[in-house]
Amino acid sequence: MTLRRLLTVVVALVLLVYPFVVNSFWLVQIGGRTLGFGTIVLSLVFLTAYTGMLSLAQMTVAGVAGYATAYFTAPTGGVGLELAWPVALILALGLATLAGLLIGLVAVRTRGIYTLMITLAVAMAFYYLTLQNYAVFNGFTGFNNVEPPVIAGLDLGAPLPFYYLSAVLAVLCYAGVRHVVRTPFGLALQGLRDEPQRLQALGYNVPLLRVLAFGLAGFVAGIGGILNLWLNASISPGSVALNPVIDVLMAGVLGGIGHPAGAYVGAFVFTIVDNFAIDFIARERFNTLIGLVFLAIVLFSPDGLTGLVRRAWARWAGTGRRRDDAPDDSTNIGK
Amino acid sequence: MLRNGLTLGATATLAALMGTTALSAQEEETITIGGLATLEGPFAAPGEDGLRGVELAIEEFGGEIAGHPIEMITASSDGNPDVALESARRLVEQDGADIMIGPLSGSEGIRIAQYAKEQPGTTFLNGGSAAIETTLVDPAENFFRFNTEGAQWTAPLGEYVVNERGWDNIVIVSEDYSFPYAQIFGFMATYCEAGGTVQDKYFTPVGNNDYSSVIAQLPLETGEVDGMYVVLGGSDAVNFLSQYAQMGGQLPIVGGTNVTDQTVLTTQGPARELLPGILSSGPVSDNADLEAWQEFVQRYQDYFGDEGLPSPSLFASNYYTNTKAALLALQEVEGDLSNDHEALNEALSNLEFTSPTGPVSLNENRQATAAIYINEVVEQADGSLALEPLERIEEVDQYLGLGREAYMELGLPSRDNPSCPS
Amino acid sequence: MADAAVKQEEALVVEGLTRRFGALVAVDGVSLRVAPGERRAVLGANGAGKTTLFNMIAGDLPPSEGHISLFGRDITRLSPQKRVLEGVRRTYQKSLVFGGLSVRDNLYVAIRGATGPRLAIWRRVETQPDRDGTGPLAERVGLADRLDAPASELSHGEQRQLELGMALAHTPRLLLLDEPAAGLSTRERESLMAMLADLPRDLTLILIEHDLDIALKAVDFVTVMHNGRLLAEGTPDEIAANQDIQDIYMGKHGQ
Ligand SMILES: Nc1ncnc2c1ncn2[C@@H]1O[C@H](COP(=O)(O)OP(=O)(O)OP(=O)(O)O)[C@@H](O)[C@H]1O
Ligand SMILES: [Mg+2]
Repeated sequence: MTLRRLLTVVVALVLLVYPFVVNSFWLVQIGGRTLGFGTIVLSLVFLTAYTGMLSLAQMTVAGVAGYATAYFTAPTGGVGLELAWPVALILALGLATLAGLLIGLVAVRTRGIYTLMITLAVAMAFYYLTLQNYAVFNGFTGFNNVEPPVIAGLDLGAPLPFYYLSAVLAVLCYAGVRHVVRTPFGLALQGLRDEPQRLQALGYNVPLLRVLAFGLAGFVAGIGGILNLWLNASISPGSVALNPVIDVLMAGVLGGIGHPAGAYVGAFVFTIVDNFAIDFIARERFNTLIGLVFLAIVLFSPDGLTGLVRRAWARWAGTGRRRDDAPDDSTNIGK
Repeated sequence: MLRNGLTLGATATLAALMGTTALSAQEEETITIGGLATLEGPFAAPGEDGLRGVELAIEEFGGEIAGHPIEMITASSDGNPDVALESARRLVEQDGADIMIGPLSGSEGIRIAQYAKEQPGTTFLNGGSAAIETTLVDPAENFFRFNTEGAQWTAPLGEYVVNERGWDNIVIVSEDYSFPYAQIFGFMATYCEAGGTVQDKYFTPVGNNDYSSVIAQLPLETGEVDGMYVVLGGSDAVNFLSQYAQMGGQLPIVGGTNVTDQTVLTTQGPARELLPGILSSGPVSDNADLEAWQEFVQRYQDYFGDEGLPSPSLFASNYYTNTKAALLALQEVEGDLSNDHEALNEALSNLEFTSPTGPVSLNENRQATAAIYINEVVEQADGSLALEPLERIEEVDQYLGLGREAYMELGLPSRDNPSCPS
Repeated sequence: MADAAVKQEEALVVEGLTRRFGALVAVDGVSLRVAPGERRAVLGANGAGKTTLFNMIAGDLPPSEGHISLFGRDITRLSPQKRVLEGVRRTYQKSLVFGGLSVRDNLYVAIRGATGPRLAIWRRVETQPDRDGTGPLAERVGLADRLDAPASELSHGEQRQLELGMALAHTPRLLLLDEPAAGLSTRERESLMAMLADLPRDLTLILIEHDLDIALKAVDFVTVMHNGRLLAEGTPDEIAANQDIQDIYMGKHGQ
């Protein structure tokens, strides 16, 4: 427990001090992206860790929020409808939640690999929709020049404010997830992860819980999606194409889909590799490298880097008292 | 090379004498050029060739300008604007690139030009991207494009088919994304202006295999419709032309720039019989005996040998042209990057030089004005197909010769814009 | 619970209940009447249809034909959740506990399930008033000192106890136990029997059990199924004396 508190303090300090020791690239492109992208990954980790469901549509839901924000704050070429930004953001998050709920409805009767496939199908359908629809998504071009609001003279798009905005939202999302899983609703989700049949026999509406879990994940992904939008200052079909969709899963597995901290660890490592691998390896072999790293993680530490650390810690601290490592969450994946 | 050496000596002497601008003059800081191109995904080959163009231009200047060594660094994208932006940020903010060359594809270009506004301390030159919006809609002060864009390439052909071929009603078959829209836009801008009408446009997804549903709606020979404007690239063009030929289609064809690129011209299937006689337009022509182009090809082949393509692609030429512009301007200001590159950007705005495709200059949006060829596909003595120039139109500008006002009135290209129905 | 109006009703009436899986008729026109507070055992060889019968009563499976009513109310079409609110609870043949949660949380999930609201997301479980109910519940099933252990670390016997605890949350009226003693040691069986004996008298209990001894000791009345059909009914003594049933039970006539 004290160790956990220490860790919290260290993370808070690092988040606070980080901007003062790095340049703008590390601040925005590594730091900001880790926090925004990590929040999208968090929505996936929330689903897998606490409900045992996998989804490949989390980037899509994030894209819904991103597109909605762009549509309502940065109309372009006759597409869009300018609204006051608080209204726009509420709408965007509402739509992301709704998208999450709808995806949940579609996926609710499936398990494991089938959920993965059906959510992938949804993701690809959305990609083609954005590509081919001009009235709402502005087709291939999408929305450019989407700037975050300036509040009381503070430009949230400037590197430092944007970083802190991302940090605050990421921390809130993380804390929110940690909170929700300790509420009656969260316990029920973990129940359905472990034994859905038992949960039903206890009086719970299992399909409804599944759909709601997707809705909540949609809300979280939506926040990440808006951060991602502002980071890039734009959104286009490329933002919701197959690659980014898979990236979320990759980062999740990399960090460990058994624990929400894994989302940000995974997003950080993924962002670093994505940006710097080219220094060590020819670009054509980049995807091979990523694939190999992925494979190695899946083979040697199915609960990702956080799992690796936790196990190392348990081994180091565990001599003496029996502090058995937390139950292997990875066995619950896809149940 | 001799001239470069001289300049170097002169600068050094001058600096020593004046003893001013101490830092930059004494240390002769390295100037870093960041090359951004698609090194992954379907455009990996063009991307690599683009970076060859950058390398070639730097080599041409002996790797230094006014005593400043020129260092080249590269980053990759996969054609996705988000990825291009990420790589650009890395080159500029992490690796400290002073000058950016890139990116390759249209939507990436729009994104990078926006990013340029955030980084006034860096000078951006386009690579190969050819979207209209990049230098038209709210253009960045520090983004320069020394190559012509997709609409400029096709504008002369629209007028040409009306005036020289007497066409006044056509159908259009096109892939469904921004680059073809721009090409249709340029073509129709002059075509409609000259009195032509478009009966119908058919859009198909990129990578389509089966065109039968479109072909069923197309006339097979001239009648009400005089011809067909085809804006498809690579395998899409080959598939469409093959299937149209197999259905017995005989409508005269004019094409977008990509319809007559090497991948299509070297095809052997049923499409081959339709190819001779097709008109297209673009910044290069195989058989134009343009000295600048031949020189460029020679230089490319000498430098890269077997490592490069047999002959440089349009992307190599565009990246080369933009890099060369940067280096010429740097030379002019003797590597002075002070005050957010003020002098360099000024020099670039006023730069005129001979690129591999001929003389090029910029307009007030920092968009190139240059010559365009109208080409016909002809069969060579050895049986291969090549582009024979019918006409070379000098100084095609961003406004397609319509003047700024009339052009801006057209709006931006989309599926439906422009339209001039019959 | 013990009010007179309810007492007059049968606790559970099952009429002509049938369930088919393709060509297989797992339960074939079974009718039962179970009085309030009665302890009933359902016996039968493997595949006789006992679990399928439970599944239909608890709502896990819809019947192909027939009706089920609980204290006079037809619940045939009721969702499993609604049946829980009506007081139906069950355990499973194979322990189904939430391995990733502590014993306390397992029990708490059961309490919330039976009382609702189940989807509260504002207050943490630690601060929920009804969380105190987990202590006494654990005590009833002998898990008071295991409250903080993850359910996955419980022994098989303890998991059965936990299952029973979850089924007992918030005053059940009809308790369906599917082979609660399966896989238990002799000592564990004895404490299980004691636990069952301690259940409130107004609770109606139906028990599937393979162990004839246990079954006959713990119940007032016995129903024997065979090949999906009702074969016989009677008091434990009558059943024990019935040679046909003994034979079937020893597997001599089994399918
Ligand atoms: N979901 C199902 N799908 C198909 N067949 C089923 C299903 N559930 C049960 N059965 C079949 O119905 C028959 C009755 O099964 P049931 O589980 O009710 O038997 P049981 O009396 O509980 O047996 P046991 O003592 O082995 O638990 C069996 O033949 C079984 O294979
Ligand atoms: Mg059974």
